[in-house]
Amino acid sequence: MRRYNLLRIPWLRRLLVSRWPQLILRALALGGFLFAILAGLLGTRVGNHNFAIVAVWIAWWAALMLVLVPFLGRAWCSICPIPMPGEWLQQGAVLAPSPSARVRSDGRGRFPLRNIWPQNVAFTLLALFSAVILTRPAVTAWILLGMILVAVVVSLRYERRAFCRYLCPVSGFIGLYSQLAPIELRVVDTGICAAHKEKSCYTGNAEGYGCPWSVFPAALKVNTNCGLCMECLRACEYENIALNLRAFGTDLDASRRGLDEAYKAFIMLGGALVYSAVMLGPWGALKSAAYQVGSAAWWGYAAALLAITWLLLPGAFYLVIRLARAQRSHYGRLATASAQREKAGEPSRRAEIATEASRRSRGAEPRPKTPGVARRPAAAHLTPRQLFTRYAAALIPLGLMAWVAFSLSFVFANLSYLLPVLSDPFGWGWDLFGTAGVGWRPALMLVAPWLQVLALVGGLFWSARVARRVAAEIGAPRQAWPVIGFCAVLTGGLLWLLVG
Amino acid sequence: MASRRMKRETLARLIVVVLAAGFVLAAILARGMDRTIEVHAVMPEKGGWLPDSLEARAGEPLTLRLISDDVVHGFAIGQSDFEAVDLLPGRPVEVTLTFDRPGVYTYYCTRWCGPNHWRMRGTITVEGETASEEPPSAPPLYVTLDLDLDAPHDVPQVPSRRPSAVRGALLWVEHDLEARALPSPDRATSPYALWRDRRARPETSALRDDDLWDVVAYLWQGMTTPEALREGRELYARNCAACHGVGGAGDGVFGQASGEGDPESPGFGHESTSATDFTDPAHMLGASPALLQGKIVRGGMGTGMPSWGLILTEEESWAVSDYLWMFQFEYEAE
Repeated sequence: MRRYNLLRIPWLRRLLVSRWPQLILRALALGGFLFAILAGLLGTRVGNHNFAIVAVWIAWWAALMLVLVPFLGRAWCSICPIPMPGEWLQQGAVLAPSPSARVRSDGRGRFPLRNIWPQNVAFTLLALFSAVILTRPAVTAWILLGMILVAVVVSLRYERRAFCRYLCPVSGFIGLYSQLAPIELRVVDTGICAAHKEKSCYTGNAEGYGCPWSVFPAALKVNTNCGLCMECLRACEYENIALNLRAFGTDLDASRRGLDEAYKAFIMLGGALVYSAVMLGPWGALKSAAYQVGSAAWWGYAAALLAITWLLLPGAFYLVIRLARAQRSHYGRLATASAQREKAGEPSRRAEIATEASRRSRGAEPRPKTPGVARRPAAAHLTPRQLFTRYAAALIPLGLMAWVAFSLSFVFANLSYLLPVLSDPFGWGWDLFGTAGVGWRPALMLVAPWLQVLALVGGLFWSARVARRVAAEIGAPRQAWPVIGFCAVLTGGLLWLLVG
Repeated sequence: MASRRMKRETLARLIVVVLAAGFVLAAILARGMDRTIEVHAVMPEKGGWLPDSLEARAGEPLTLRLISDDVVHGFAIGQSDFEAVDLLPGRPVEVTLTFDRPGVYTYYCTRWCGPNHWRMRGTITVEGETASEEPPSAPPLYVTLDLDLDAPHDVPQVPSRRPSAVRGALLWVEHDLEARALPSPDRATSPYALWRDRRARPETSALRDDDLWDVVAYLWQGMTTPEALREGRELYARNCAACHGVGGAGDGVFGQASGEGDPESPGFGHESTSATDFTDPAHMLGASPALLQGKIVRGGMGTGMPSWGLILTEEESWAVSDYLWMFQFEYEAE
């Protein structure tokens, strides 16, 4: 897989290593964030005339889902203002660490969890109340304020960016979809890292903090937990960190995901389906149900959303996996071949793996690989759960494209609200830039449906490719088809909801 | 080295404070310096006008920033020539009011914003000195006549067809009724009382009952003017049709009150009732113009009928009253 190290461009390296540009962007983002909170709390209750709603749920969301995440992965996380106050308090500085800085624990422990289930729950909670959050400025303001306060508390209690890594609902899906982005931060030569005793990229030094995301760069294989904060770039004494330009979706080849990440894919896909139906569909009863929090109808909506994202979609996918697993194919023949070798006295593949593991544990060098022969996991030995999490990778491209298509629905229609809201952010009758009287002007409405179709169909093909690759990896090519069928059904549903 | 690092850190902190907090502080400062009175409009079920009472001084301008926080509302001042303004959601409108005379003025919503739209009113208390030569305002006619607005006024006999002022005019000429010097109707008389009086007179004995009703219709039209009827129609459409219906049959969208316990009901807090059907001859023909005008001004006690006395001028309330008869009588085309 070809990669191009962007840090070979001198001015880009200087720009990213220097703390000032990032600080200014962070400060601006924090200012906008606080301004949005103030507008939400004090400004007009009418959402499309309030900076909090327009700037956050139209402008920022559009930038995030249409540009930042697909093309730059976690770039937003590198300037996100939510963790900044807590991090500055934690580090005792706004800019650079002190000469003797290492990771400041100061009694702060590691976050007790090592998965993203809290992020899954947090996002689901936001989804349950999204109809109110996205339309009422005051509610948006309280959510943002709550997130920043939780981030501060967590930063003071736990080390590094525990909030971002384990709790932030936005970070959860950004991390998932950053696996598709065409950029990555990776080490150039792992040998240098192996020989480096201080491991400054993780522990910190006078030039850079230890990775706030609790990631050891030398072991970084996927983008999921790399926040692109560039601290490792600053801390590495050997300039051994590269910012690579690479093919889209590269991480899907290498990643091994847990059930929490697999569920994240379902929650996001299910969320896109439900949002499309509720917010963009013609069913007024659904909108009312989603909006009237606490009513009997809302409880029905909440139950449906939870069932779809946590039960029905994963359950249906699990059945698909069982169906795929039941297919006799190359996978079945492999198992037969392995049994035949054992019978003939030759070691089975499983025995070979066990032998190799034993050698390495005694310090032996790994056996050289036979060129052209990839190590493939024995498909026969993969449990349904393992297949479930592996094939869940196929849902990631479709999920991102579903959110791109959903975002296209309202972004072009509503982006024009940004002009009046910039001049009159609170709805108090200001006209700072002379655009307060600019009326609503939907843009590109004839083009948007085609872009949505392109996104969804493109996502389906991408997911199909991933499914086939996973199937080939485990030596069972035909297993991909039920998974592709599952993706096709979801794509059809989204096309009907968004474009039909 | 350490001092250079401290200088950079200080600069960084300054940048953060300026960029992060600067916008916020500027907004708060600007808000604090703004002295314009803000009046928010929300659906009456959620509060109506906020605030719903203001103060001013006679002769001094009062500037208000009106903001609708939900649906389309309207703003007007009762019994004044202030042109009503529409309030679109989220779009502030600034108005400057100057009151010549002290008193209590009512501002109200002019766009049907919900079932209890008619309750959406506020007051502006204007202080100042009353001009000594100003005469005290006269009480409504129903007060002068000591009319019981709530007494039943159904009639035992109604016309078999809708009385026509056009036919009445022809009959008036044909039977030379002008020369008979019959007393003219007035606002204290109901159409039925007039018809009964004419029925008892020998001058009209040749007329059939329905023909006599046509004559009554002709006389009734004579008590008003085309201009008043036009104004009445406009006022009715704007203020009354939502409950009483476009056709006056009491079938307007907000005309059905479901009872005391439903805050969404236009009759909330009152007995369950429906808007009056102005097309019902048994009910209407027994009412005098003074009675109708009185109900408009006072409101319906124990019903959902709002009081319009502070909103409509006397002339306007008579115009509406005059227009209501057009649901009973067929008047000449203008």
